[in-house]
Amino acid sequence: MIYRVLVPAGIGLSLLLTACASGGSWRSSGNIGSLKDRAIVVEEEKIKGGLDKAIASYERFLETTPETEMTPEALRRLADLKVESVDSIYDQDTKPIRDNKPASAKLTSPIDSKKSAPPLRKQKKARQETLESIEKRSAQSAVPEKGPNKLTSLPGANTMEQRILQDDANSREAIKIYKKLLSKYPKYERNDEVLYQMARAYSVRGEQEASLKTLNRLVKKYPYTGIMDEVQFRRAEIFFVRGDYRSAARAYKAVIKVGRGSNFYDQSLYKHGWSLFKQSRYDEALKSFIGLIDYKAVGGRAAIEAFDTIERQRLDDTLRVVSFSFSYLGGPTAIAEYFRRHGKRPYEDMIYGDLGEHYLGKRRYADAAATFSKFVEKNPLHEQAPVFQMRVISVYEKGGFPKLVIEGKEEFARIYDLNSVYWKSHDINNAPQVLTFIKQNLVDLASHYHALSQKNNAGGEHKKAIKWYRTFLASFPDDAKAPGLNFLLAEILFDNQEFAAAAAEYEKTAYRYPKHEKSAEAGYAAILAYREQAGQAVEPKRPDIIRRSIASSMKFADTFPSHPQVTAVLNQAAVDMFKRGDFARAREVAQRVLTEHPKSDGKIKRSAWIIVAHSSFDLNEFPVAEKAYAEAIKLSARSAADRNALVDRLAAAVYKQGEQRQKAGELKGAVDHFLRVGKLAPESKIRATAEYDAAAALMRLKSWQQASGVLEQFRQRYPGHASQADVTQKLAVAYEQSGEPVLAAAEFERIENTTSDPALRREANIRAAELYRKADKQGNAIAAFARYVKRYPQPVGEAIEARQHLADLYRQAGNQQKLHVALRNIVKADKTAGPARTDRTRYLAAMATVELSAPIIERYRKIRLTIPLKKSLAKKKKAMTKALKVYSDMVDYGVAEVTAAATYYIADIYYDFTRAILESDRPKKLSALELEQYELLLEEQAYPFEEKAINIHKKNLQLMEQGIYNDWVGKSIEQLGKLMPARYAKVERSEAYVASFR
Amino acid sequence: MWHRFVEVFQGAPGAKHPVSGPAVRRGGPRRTAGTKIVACIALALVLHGCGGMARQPDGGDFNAALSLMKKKDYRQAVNAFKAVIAGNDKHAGAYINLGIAYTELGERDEARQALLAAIERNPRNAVAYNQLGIVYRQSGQFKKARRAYEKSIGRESKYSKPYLNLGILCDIYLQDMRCALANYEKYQALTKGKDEKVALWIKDLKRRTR
Repeated sequence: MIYRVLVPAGIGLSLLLTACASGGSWRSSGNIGSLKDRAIVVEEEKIKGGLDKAIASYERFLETTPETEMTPEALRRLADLKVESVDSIYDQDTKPIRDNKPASAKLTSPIDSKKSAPPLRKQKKARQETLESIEKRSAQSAVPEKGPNKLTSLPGANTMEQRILQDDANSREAIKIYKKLLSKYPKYERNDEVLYQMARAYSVRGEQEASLKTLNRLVKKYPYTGIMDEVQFRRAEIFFVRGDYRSAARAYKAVIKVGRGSNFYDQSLYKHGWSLFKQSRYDEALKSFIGLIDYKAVGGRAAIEAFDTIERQRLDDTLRVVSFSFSYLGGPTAIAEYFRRHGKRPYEDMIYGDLGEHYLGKRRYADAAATFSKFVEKNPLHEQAPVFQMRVISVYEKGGFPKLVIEGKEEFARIYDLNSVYWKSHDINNAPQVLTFIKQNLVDLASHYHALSQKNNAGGEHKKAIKWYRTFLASFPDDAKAPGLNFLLAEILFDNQEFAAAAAEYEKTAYRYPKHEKSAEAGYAAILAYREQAGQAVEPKRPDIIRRSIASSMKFADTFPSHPQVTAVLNQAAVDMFKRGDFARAREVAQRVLTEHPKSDGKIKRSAWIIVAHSSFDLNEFPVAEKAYAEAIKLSARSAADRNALVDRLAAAVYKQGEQRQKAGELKGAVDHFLRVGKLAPESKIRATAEYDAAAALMRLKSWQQASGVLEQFRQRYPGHASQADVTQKLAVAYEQSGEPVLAAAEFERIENTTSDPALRREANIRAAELYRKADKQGNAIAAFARYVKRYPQPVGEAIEARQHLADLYRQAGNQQKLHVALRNIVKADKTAGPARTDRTRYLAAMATVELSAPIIERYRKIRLTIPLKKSLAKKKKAMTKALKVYSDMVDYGVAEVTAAATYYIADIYYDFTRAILESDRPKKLSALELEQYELLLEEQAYPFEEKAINIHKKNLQLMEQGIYNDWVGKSIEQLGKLMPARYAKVERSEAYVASFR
Repeated sequence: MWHRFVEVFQGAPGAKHPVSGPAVRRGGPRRTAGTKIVACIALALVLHGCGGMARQPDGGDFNAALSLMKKKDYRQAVNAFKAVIAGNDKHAGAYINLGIAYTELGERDEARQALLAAIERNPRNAVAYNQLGIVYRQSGQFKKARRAYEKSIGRESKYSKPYLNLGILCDIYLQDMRCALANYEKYQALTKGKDEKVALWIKDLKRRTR
């Protein structure tokens, strides 16, 4: 222990100064002020057991020094030291003595320092304090419990008993000294202090009544003493301890009257309040308590914040008793009313807060909540308003009112939304606790309704969950919880089939935040949401959704390339692109699946190949399509439902290559592809078409044999095919062109027998007939032509041509009878043709007539002029006339060739007559001369006929002048060559052959 | 909560791609079977003449064909020269012989085609033109015959036969005595008047034209 010892000069007396002031509640009278007039030497030295030495020094001084004006002073100090020594024993090692302020002013139980209002949880402990404990604490401050019974240790004393006896002696001696001083020196200027110290000594001895009387005496005798506040305070404390609250209140009031300058002012205010409180005068008590807070908190909230532990404890105690007071006066309404009447205070929140806590401590949840709410109601824009609202919620939680908790939370979220009026006047960054609560509150609300909606969504709970999730995300987009909450928002939207919104939120979750735990899952879920949305959408809206789904899928694949579903996603995107007709992109994406993920699932690969194939097909890139179809088929199970369809598509891809070549005019290439179809996909539906087209192309290439081969196979392979009729026609042409007229004719007959088209049947019939004719198949040709003329008398022209062929064939066959029938039919058909008669029919009819005339002229020629000449001549002339008429009639046809023929024959009839005359039988009985004369006569007779024949032949030659030349004219020239060889037997000369290559 | 999806593309999707394969179009608007067959036949004929040519064995010996000509076995000669042509289509001489053989067989159309083919391959050949003139004359195509003879003369002015043939054409068929006389005389000049018949024709003509 360090003592400052002031040693008066000359006496070497060390005086103990403030440091040795009593550790009790009473002030020490020895101080610097009291010795200010002395010439003293101040020394500081360490003194062990200094108090005892000081007492001994004073005692020595009084014993050895004659009575002087210093004597009362020394006596007083000696007494004071003795009192002090008693006090110091009790205070040693328990309380540091720092100054001479009344210990009572600090008499509070030490409590942990709390600079600001303790949080609810911490306050709970405090709340366990009862009013009694606070009261006890306040009472302790009034009465120094320094009785012998409180003795705990007695350092420096030999035994406890010895020490007690010593103390008793010291205090008794002190009182004796004080009494002596008062009586011996009644004018001593510091007798007010002497009385005070004597009261103190009594108090130390536990003689409270004597102490009070001494103090009363002091009040009475020295009403203007400078220590009146302290004296009154001591009095008040004694009254208070005694339970005389009325007197205590008066005494405390006296201290208060001294004013704020008194060291006992605030303590007295406090105890004054208590004194009134104890008398149930709550409203008056509150004035003191509030006054105390006003006094202590004069520096505003900042001052309160700066309280030390003890001050804080005092404040807390004050608040507690205030709470009790208001509680007795009606609770929060009373607070409101009080401040309405007495004016607002900046620390009202503490009052409300404490009352709320008070109720809470008593499990009066409704009252607690009402109190906190009242504050918010009265102070909506108070800095602490959100905290109070939080407390309301907390109360409901503690009270177990889940419905009220949620309502409270919703109310809170609504009032303290970041866009609310409140935050217009407060900076949320200055309220981290509130900020944290707002966030958690929103999370709680969203989670609560989310969970509810999963149980039973009858009340549209999901909408509330969505609302709170959205509120959180809008308010705190960059919060660490935002990605997780965004994901949950998307989830609840998805669960409630709001797929569009879900997709948007999943995408936000996946791509808006830095990568987080749920990024990839959200990216994938976004695609699923789009797909669900698309599944529900009406048709006009579907394409746009699919477009979004595709975009999302691509983003997913780009962002999370190692996600296990990435190939499925890419594949699906490709499928969607394909369905949208975006073939190029679809193929690109499908190829990406195949190249970037070669080890992906077989089904996926197969699907990708199919997309590549179909897209390439639609892009007219058939070789690529073919390859892709082949790959897809390789990956298909034998039993795959679509295997046949794929094979068909493969075939189609090959077929299309053929078609492309065909369009480019590359028929050979086209044929190769068409025929490849059958090899690659023998069962494909298009094979028949391909082979048909191959045959057609081969025909255009004039590859008749190959064409007929393909067509024959076609006929065999596809007996019921719709193109069989066409195949027959093609085969007919192919056979015909490949030098197989008989086979060709058979095909035409097949057409004839199978087609229902009359025109085609007629056409086929004539073609078959002509082919047989050309192939020298007379029997078949005759049958075909005969069938034709029988079935198709119309059109006349064609029928007559057919009859002509028939006639020709009969002529070849030497069937004169049928030939003539045919020729006569020609003539008849022409004659009856009416308007259908043409030059050609007329020609053929005329030619038939010429031919039919042959027997007539033949018969005429055969008539020889025999003896009797007259008779035979008459017969010949008759035949001649008949023949000439026949040929003259022929001219009527007006057909040049027939006219020429008729002319030729007429000339020939005359010539024949000349020959007949010259070759006529000679009369048998003529002499040589007669015979010579006879022959001359014959020649004379014959000559005119010959002349006529020549002239008629020459007439035929005149046709040439009209540009008409035919075989009959030629024949006339030939005849003229015989009749006038010098002029007409002129034959052109040509080479028999040429041996040169050139 | 959500199912995994693997919508694998199964075969042909939707109506756009019927599994029955692509809409394969054949030709334009469907014609009637009748017109179609006519069209086929007409095409075949245009491409391949009148269809009279039978398919030939490969190759052919020009000299063997010539010997057939010498033997006046014209039918066989025709086949033989066709074989030669099948082996070498540039062979103008083979076409001329083919033309001569056809002329002898009275198959004037075939003869004309063969000779025109020869001329196409060698436009300088006077024999081909002379033979063509004869074929045209036999067909009554006198103007073409005259032009052919004249071209023959134009190609080879010392080649006598076309003069005689042109003379006959003018004499009998065109009734152009002056032309006939001039050409007969030219023929006589080129053959050095060895042909007595022709000398008589000249005398007759001169008498008639006097």
